[in-house]
Amino acid sequence: MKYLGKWLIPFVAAIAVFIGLQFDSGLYTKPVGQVEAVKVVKTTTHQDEDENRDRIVKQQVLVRLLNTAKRGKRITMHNTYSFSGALDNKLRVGEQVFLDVDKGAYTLNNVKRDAILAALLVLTFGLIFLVMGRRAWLTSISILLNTLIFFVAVEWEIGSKQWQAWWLFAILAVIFTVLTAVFIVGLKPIAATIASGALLATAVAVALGYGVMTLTNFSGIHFEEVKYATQTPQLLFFGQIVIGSLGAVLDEASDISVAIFQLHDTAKERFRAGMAIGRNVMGPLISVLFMIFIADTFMESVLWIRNNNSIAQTVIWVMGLGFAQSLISAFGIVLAVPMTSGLAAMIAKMKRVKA
Amino acid sequence: MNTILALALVLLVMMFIVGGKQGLSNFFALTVNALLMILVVILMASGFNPIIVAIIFGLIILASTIFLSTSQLSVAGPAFVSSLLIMTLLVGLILLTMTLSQTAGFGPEDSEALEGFSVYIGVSFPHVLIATTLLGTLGAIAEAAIAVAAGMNEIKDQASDAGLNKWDTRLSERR
Repeated sequence: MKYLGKWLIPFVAAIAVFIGLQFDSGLYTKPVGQVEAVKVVKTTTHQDEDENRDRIVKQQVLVRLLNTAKRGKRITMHNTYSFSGALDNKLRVGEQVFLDVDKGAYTLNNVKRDAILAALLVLTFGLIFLVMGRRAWLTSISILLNTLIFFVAVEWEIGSKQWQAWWLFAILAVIFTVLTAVFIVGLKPIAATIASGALLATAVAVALGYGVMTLTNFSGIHFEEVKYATQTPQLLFFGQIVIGSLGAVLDEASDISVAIFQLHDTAKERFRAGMAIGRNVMGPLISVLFMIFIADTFMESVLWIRNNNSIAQTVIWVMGLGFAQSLISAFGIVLAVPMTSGLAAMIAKMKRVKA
Repeated sequence: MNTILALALVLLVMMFIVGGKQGLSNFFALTVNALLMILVVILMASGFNPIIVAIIFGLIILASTIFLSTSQLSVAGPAFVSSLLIMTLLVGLILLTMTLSQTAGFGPEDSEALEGFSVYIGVSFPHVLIATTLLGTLGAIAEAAIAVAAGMNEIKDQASDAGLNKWDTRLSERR
């Protein structure tokens, strides 16, 4: 029972944080309100050119202001939402929202999401600490540090705009890899093995991917569909692959290296052991990335098919980039097996000769 | 030749060289999952409830990923069962958090991509987002379950309380 109770702690903490952050509206300068009552004013059916039927609902919302000078005041406003909800949200009683105010008239700006976000963060880190024990500190610091570096780099990129995003991501990849490897095993030769194995595999994978794409003339690859690309979409696409696959490749490289450094066999046997481990983990690791990359395209794919595009067209245009990304990431995961095994076997041997 | 097919072919060759028969089996699992994911999109777009579609196909994808990734039944069995438990837990958590966070659909930054599209398509984007989240996590769940089950299978003979403690210290030392 005591053991089970321990697992409830993160959930209870998450709920507590969620409730606590219902009272943080004083921290915002933007007006925040809580929905106290909703009433449907009008429901219309909408039919578009492709015969899609949707329901559009106009609701009257009673909102109590939670901050600014008008605190405590109740206002009414209107909110229109659709059943499909592509660009709008249905408001529910109890929910908190940000408001825009113009000459005393309030309109919905956005849903306030800080409480649920913070609750999820608490739950995630709580579970990490429960599962990993003392080691959780290192993992958490490594995650936070990587996140911080990423934010700073992106901010800097947006500020200067001089750099191609590709170089930024390439440098970031090196920093992430080295930092994470050091956090996993400490400042030891094995960290160098992990980092160089992962980086080498990723670099060769991207080069190989680019080579195959060039040879086949990019047929069926629609870079114009790369999202939010304001500069060369190709480079952004490869940047996504590098950063996206790094975690999986690092995971694999550290599994292999740690095991090889523990063995006391000849270099050849060590290499073979590394290959055996890699062989077992590469399949599942590829499906990790694959599922994420493809599931990411769901919303747009459904939108495309519903807008009277054929299934083939949707698969090629929308899901195609996801497939290409998964495949090139998979190159990295497969290549990391022999590369890390070789490097680790070599470096482990050198270390033994020295000792 | 089509680029995606060429990339897939190169991957197939590499997986065979590195992984042999196991590599081929992994590649087969990947192909099956790719077809299943396309089928999921088609079903969601034809009006089936995305959440139910995601749960049903989630089970199939978990099964194909786990049972095609490892040939040992003593690893695949426990991995599959624990993945199912985690998936059940996650369905609840995802339904709750996605409902509370209301992050589905498109933002102002998507306006360029949405140009020319009708967004009132009669398919609930919040439901599609739940499907995306659920299926997006399955690969990671399967991977972790297989890794733990395979590791425990390796050490099962030496597993006594004292032995496990030793493993624990050894693990923390090497890390």
